[in-house]
Amino acid sequence: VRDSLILLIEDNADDVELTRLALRETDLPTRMVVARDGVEAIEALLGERAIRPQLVLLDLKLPKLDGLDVLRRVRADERTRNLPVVVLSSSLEDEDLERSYALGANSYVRKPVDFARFVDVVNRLGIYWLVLNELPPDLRAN
Amino acid sequence: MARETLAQPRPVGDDVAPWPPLGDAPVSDGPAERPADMLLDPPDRLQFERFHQWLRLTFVPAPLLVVLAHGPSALPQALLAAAAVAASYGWVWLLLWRWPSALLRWQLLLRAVDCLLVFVVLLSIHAFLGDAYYDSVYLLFVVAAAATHGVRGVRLVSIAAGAAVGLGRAQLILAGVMPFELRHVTDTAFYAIFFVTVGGAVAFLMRRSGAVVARREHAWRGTLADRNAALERAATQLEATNRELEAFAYSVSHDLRAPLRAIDGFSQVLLQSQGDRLDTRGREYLGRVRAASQHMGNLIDDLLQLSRVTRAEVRREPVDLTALAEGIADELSRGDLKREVTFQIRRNVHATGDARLLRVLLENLLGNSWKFTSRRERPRIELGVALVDGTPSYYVRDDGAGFDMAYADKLFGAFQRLHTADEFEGTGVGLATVQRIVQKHGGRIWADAAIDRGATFYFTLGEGS
Repeated sequence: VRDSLILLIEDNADDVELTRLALRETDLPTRMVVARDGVEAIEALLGERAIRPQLVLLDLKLPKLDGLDVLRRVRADERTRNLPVVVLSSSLEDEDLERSYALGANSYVRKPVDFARFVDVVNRLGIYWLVLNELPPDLRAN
Repeated sequence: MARETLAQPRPVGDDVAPWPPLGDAPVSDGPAERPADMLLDPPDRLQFERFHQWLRLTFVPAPLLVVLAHGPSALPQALLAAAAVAASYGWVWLLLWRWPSALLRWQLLLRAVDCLLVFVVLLSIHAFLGDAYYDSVYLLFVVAAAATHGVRGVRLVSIAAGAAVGLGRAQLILAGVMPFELRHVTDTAFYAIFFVTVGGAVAFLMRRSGAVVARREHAWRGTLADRNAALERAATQLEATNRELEAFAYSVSHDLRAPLRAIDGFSQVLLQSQGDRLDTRGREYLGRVRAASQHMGNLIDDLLQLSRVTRAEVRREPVDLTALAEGIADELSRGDLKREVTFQIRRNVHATGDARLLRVLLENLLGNSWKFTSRRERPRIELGVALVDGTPSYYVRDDGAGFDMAYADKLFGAFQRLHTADEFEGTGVGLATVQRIVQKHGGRIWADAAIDRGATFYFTLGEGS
C-alpha cells in the first residue's frame, strides 16, 4: 500500500515535531511534508512543482500569508478545490472557526494541550480522511 | 379654512447659531426669523397677545362706572366704550384663532390701532365729562409694544400714544370745553416722555433678562461641552482598552498554549521512549511537568472564558434551564461512568437571558457541584427555583464538601480558591465567570454553605427572567 501524503502547514517547530510524533504513534502509513509559512504552502500546492497530498493540516496563524488566506487560495483553484483541508488551530475564538468553515475547511480541530489527546485527534483525522478516502466510491457513499 | 400652524421654537441643538460671547454684547444672533430687537419667539408673542386680551378686559368696568357716576344720560357713551372693548377683543381673538401669522406680522400696528380706539372712545367721554382726561391709559399699549418689539415698539407706539394725548387736548380746546393753557402742551410733552421712559425701561429689562439667559446658557453649554469631551475621551480610551484586551485574549489563546503543548508533548514522548532509562523519581518529575502544563492549559482556557464572557453582549431570549441542565448533567455523567450521582432537576425552569452565557453559567455551577461531591458515596445535585426575600431565585444545590461561610466574600474573585489543589483541582476562575454572567444579566448571586454539608448557589437574572 502506498503511503498517504500529508502536507502540514505550520510555523512552530515544536508543533511540527509533535505532529510528526503523533502521526508516528498512529499506525497510519503516512509521509509528511512541511510548509513553514503561507507562501511556502501555496508554492507546495499550486506552484510549478506542486505536490498532491491526500490531506492538508493547516495552522491559522502563519508568517507572510495567514492560514485563512491560504485556504481561500486553495479553494479558489480548480486543482485543489476538493482537497481535504483540516484546520489545526490553538484558537478558541468562534470567529476563527466560523470563518474557517465559511472558506471551505473540511474540519476544524483545536489543538489540545494534552499530547495523548492530540495523538487521538490525529489518529481519528487520519482514519477519516486517509482510510475513508481510499475506499471505493460506492462504499464511501454509505 | 384650516387653522394655521406655527413653527415651534427651534430645538436647542447643533444647528442653532453659536451663542454670543460673554459680556454685554446684545443678543443679536438668535434664530434668523427673529429681528434683532425682538426678544420673544412667535409662540411667546402669541401667548403674550392672549394675555393682553385679559388686560383689554380691564376696560369693561369703565362703561359701567360712567353710567354709575353720571346716570342714564351717560348710556350712549358707555355703550360706545363697551362696543369698542368688545370689537378690539373680538378681532384680536379672531386673528389669534384663524390668522396667527398675520397677527404676528401686524402685532405692533395692532398696538397703534389700540391707541386709536381708546382715543375715539375717550373723545366721546371727554365731550361728556368736560375736562376730565385719562391719558395714562395708553401706557398699557406702550408697555405691550416694548415687551414684544423692544425699542422699535416703544418708539412707534410712544409716538402714537403721545399724538393721541395731544390730539385729545386739542379736540377739547377746539370744542370749547376748556380754554387753551400752556399746561396742555407741557402735559403732552410730559406724557410723551413718560411713555418713552417706561417703555424704554421695559425694553431694557427684557433685553437684559434675555442676555442673562443667553449668558447662563452659554456657560452651561461650555460645561456640557467639557463634560462631553471628557466622556468622549473616556469612551475612546475604553474602546482602546477593549481592543487591547481582545488582542491580549487572542494572543493568550494562541501563543501561550503552543509552548504548553510542546512541554506536555515532549514530556510524554520522553516518558514513553526514554522512560526505562529514568528512575522512579525521574518519571514522577516528568509526570509533574505534564500535570503542571495541563493545569496551566486549563487556567488559560478558564481565563479566556472569563474574558469572553466579559466582552460578550447579552442577547435576551427565552431559555429552558431544565433542558440545559439535563444536557450538562448527561455530559458530566458520561464523563465518569463510575460515579453514582443523582441529579434532581426541576421541570419547567425557564429564564430570559443569553442562552450561550447561561450554558456557561450552568456548566460551571453544575461542574463545581460534580467536583465537590466527588468524595461522597451517593451525592445529590439539584437545580430549582426558590422564593428568597420575595424574589424568585434559581439555585444549584449539592451535598458535597461545602465551605466555611467565613470565606464567602472570596468566593467570586478570580484565582480565589477555598480548597487546596490536593483536595479538589481547579483554577479558581469558574465562579468569577459565573458572577460576571449574572451581573451582565443585571442579576445577583450569593451562596449558602457549611463545611461538609454541601453548598447552595442562588442567582437571579434581572428583569424579565
